[in-house]
Amino acid sequence: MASLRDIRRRIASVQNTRKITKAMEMVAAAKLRRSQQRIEALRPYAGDMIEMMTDLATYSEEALNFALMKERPEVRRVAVVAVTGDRGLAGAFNANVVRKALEIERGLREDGGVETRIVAVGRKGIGTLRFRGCLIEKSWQGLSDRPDYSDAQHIAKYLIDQYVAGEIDRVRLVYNHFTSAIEQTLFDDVVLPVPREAVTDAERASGPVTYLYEPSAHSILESLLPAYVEIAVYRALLESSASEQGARMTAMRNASDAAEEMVDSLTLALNRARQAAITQEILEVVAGAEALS
Amino acid sequence: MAEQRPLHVEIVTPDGEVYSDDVGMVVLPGVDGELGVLPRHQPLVTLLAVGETRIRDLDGTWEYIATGIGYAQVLFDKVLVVCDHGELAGVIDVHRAEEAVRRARERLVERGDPGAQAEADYFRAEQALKRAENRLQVAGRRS
Repeated sequence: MASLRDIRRRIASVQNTRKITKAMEMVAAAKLRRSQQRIEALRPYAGDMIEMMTDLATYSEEALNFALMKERPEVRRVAVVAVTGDRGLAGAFNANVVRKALEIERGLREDGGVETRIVAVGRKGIGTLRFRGCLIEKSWQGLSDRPDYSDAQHIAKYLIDQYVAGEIDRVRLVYNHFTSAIEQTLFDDVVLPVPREAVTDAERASGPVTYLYEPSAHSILESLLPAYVEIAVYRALLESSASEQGARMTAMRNASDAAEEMVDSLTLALNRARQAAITQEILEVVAGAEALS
Repeated sequence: MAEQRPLHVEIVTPDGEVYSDDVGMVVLPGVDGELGVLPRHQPLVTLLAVGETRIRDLDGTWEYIATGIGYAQVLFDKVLVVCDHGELAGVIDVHRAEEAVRRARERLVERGDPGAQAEADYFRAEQALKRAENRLQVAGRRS
């Protein structure tokens, strides 16, 4: 059995760890509140923006003349944007994104030799993907704590440039969607080309839709398309940021609970060992006294 | 009108949803002038200027909303307005708007040396002035 001193040392160490995990839990909870507000404010805007683009891609003939709207006949290279956090200690938060990205990569490769270009956002994703031997085309880090709109603009510009240049034929965003503080759902959205809605036969029967453009289709789409990509990326960054805090809070709460349990069982072991030592001592004293008499 | 078909209007900004309801009519501030939209309107996409969005409810009362630059789409009796800011006439803070007008005017007067930075500042001040004046005007609609 471990000595009393060893057990005491263990208890002190676990208690120290618990202090740290408890503090991290509280920090994550505070940051979560802020991130949650930001994403919840943005959701209706992003949702309507994406709905508008999807409608245009589905019903507008003029829109299809734009490079970003056209479905390419042959998809040879797909960009997968993996959005992770800059820090670990958030449960499976980062690992899930990395696993999904690698899954997509393998699926595309086996499915007909489609090449994947990995774009990594977040220090953790960059590190793990590089470790797994992935070639990372482009990466961003240092923005998971408080993503700025300008961060999204940079990423969107890169993606659009690559797409227009024909370097990539499709863009997919892999990120954690913030469902609640304790639940994150992994999303895999196609951003480019602008996804089209599946039109039902009844809707198609009503005839083609002719849009009016004010002032012109060209000037609207020219500014609307980049804005759409920026918003799609920005939303993913904010969803991911809120999810990260939620995941960390849960992971740290679990760690704190586990530490507490461990302290309890160690205290029990300590008391048992102490009692055993006392009993032992009494037995020795009694045996000594008996031997003398 | 045998049966009034409603028009669904959603106005959203990056700071949240401003308006979402079934209405009778909406007038949008397009870049080339105002656009009135009734139910069964032809599909339309437009750029919006800073201005006043007017909505007539199903019961005939008007509501006024100060909206910023953005886009609007009309499709299948649904109007999506996506713009950079939007405030209902009733919630506009007149003092803040007046203050913003004053600040923007000051900045326009003290235009710095010619250069890219000064140009950008001037442009920003102009935009801020436009937004603030628009808010004041829309706030004036309050009865």
